[in-house]
Amino acid sequence: MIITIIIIGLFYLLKFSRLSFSSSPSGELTMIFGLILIVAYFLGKFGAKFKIPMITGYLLTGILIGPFFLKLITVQNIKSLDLINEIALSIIAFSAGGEIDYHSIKKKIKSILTIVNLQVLSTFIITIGVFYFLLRFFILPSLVQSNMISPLSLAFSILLGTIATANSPSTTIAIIMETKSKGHMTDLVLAITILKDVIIIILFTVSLSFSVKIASGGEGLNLAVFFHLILEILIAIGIGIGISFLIALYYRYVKKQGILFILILSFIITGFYYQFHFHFLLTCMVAGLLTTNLFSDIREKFLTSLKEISLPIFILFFTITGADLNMITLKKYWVYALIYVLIRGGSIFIGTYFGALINKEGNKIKYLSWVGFLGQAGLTIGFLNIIETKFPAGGTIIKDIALGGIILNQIFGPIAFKWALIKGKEAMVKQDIPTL
Amino acid sequence: MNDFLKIIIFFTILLVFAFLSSKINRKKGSFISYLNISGISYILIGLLIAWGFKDVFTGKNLYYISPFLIFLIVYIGFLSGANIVLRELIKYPVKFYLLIIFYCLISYLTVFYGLSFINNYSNIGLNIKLIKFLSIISLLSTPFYFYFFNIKNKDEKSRYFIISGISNFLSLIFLGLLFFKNIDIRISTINIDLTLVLIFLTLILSLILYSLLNSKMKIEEIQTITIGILAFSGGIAVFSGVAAISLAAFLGFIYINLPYRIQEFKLTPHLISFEKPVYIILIIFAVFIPSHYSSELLIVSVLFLTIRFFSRVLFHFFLKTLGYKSNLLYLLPLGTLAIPVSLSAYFILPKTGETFLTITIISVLINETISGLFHKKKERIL
Repeated sequence: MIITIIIIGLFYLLKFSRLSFSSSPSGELTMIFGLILIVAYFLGKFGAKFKIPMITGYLLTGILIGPFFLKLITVQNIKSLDLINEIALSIIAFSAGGEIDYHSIKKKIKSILTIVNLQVLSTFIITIGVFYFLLRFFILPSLVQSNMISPLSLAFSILLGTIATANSPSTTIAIIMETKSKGHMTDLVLAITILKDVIIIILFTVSLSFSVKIASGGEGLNLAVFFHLILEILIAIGIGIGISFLIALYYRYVKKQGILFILILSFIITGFYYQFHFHFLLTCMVAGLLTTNLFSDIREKFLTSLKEISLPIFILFFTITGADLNMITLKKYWVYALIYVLIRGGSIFIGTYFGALINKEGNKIKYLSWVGFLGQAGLTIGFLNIIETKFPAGGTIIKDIALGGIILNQIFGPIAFKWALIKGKEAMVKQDIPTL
Repeated sequence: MNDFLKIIIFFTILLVFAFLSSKINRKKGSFISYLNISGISYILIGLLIAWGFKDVFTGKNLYYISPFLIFLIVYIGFLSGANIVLRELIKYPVKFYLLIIFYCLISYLTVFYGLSFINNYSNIGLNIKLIKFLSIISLLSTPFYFYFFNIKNKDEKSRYFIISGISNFLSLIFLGLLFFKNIDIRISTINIDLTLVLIFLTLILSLILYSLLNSKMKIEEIQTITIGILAFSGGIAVFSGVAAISLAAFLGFIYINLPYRIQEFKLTPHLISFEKPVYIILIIFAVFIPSHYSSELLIVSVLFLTIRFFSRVLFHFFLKTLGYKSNLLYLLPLGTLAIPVSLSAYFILPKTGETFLTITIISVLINETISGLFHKKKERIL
């Protein structure tokens, strides 16, 4: 803690002093990069003493040093760190795909598909129902014209329903790696999280198109958009297949500097994503999945490289995510955000419980596994930005409510998931020893 | 094709290049191996790619990658400082260190007065900062010939490594002093001296490293915090207008000489394993920065190298006169460290730094190529 306070003090001294020369923005960014790694690590470790997952500690550090509290990192700084954040996300996606062992999940495929379907259905329907009522009678009447209340309530509730179904593979993988969990529940949660991510990309595009139609009464459900989306997903999978072969080639023939290779590869993928806007997370997940399952000879080397790099990557990604969370939003809509969190949590539980019941899964899956799907991050925030652009009139309200919910989910989701893994006896570490 | 896409394609080429270079002939003493170890191949590859991407890494685009470059520079500086292990150095007699100091002095003064003399009696137009900069980098050397010759005498080998390590370290410290402008940091009505802040920073960061090495942390954790410390100190240096490589070298020196010896076998090998790729990336990027390679700068480079060579000859004869065995060839290569040093100067003073960097690149290219000819000759003699 003393180290953290001194480092923050030094940073504060230099950043907010009036230096007699023009300070370099590159220097400032490098300084922030170092500040994040040191401060978030120590605060994460400090939080672990109170059994808080390290990633929650990183998120809270981000909130603390971000633009709403200590203001050590500005909104502009966060924008400049976007590239680093995306690179980190692609490495996390490689890990998410790489950690899936096809041989161990193929027997569970029926459970996985049932739980995914029931979770998506229950979350989607229940959230639409509750939020249609709230939007129609409490939120929208004071904000929009009376003739628009009903169509906008339906459109926005559909979008909120879609947003609620999304979860965060990066959070799931981070907690699994932190607790070194292994077992039936771990495999199931990881596989479901990843599969849901793919389904939600499709669901969001359809919902958005449908909502635009309801709200404007004009443009119909565009089939061309739908096919375009399918094509995009196929392209992302295709690129992922290609990349897995590239990884195999590198690890088989070059054999060294695996970490550097992954870093450069992630940079290239992120760069191409900036240019062509393909689903790079899906690409990285597919690449990770195929590398570890098709090329068994390099599986261990590849996973070791990912593990060696995971700590700084997690620290950077989750701290920047924390700094990016708009706390003013949470303050403004905390009641609706809380309702969103409770409704979402409840419907995820229902979907998971009945999915597990149908497949005769044990109590661990019925009562504990649902908390593994509470976390929400990157992809969801991306969706909200799209909604805000498509609905300039009321999109901001939806964004603010969901964002408030995401903040709560992202803070409490990892804590709950870590607890579930320990309770389910799948976590390999002692409760009080942080290992990440 | 926009600039960002070009950067991505550039990285792709870099990756393919890394893949191919790992497959080529690496036989000890081979020509290809010489080109790689001396850094010539990376400069040439960099020039070749820069020719195709000449408008890419300028202004706004460099902004994307400059924090990354600063971090790599600091990394190299830290490792250079970590070369100076006092526990190892006390084995040698005082006169050995007096000779090293003499070697540094002769190198610095010959280049400084040599270039000043030429500058006064010609219209070459060198400014005093450039002359001082070149005098400082004249100290640099890389004993990479040891990778080519089977030197049986381990003591001789380690002595040359120590000479090179200390002179490189001193060069980095002098560079820091050359660019250091002491200023007051003002917070409301309080004025704090920048020197005090930097001393405090170095002490704090060393304290963190000390406590890390003393803890039961895993290697990944220590590595992560070390990366954080390097980035933080590098950022502070550039932010405050101080040479990042010098601050990092000082930090590396303190780090390696902490009472715990664990760092020598626990962390340092991990950091060293990335040294070569870091150099390669820095060299290739550095080649992109100069906007033009003019004949005037070529002349300055040749003059600098000639005077530097003359200073080495002087030192060689001085040692002979004292009755010591000396090998001129070992201290001749300028070494790839010169490039991160110049890049560090570039981040403090972009306009002047570009000239420094251009001269350094040309000098390294010429010096290492000519040294290569000596190397072939020496190989025959052996």
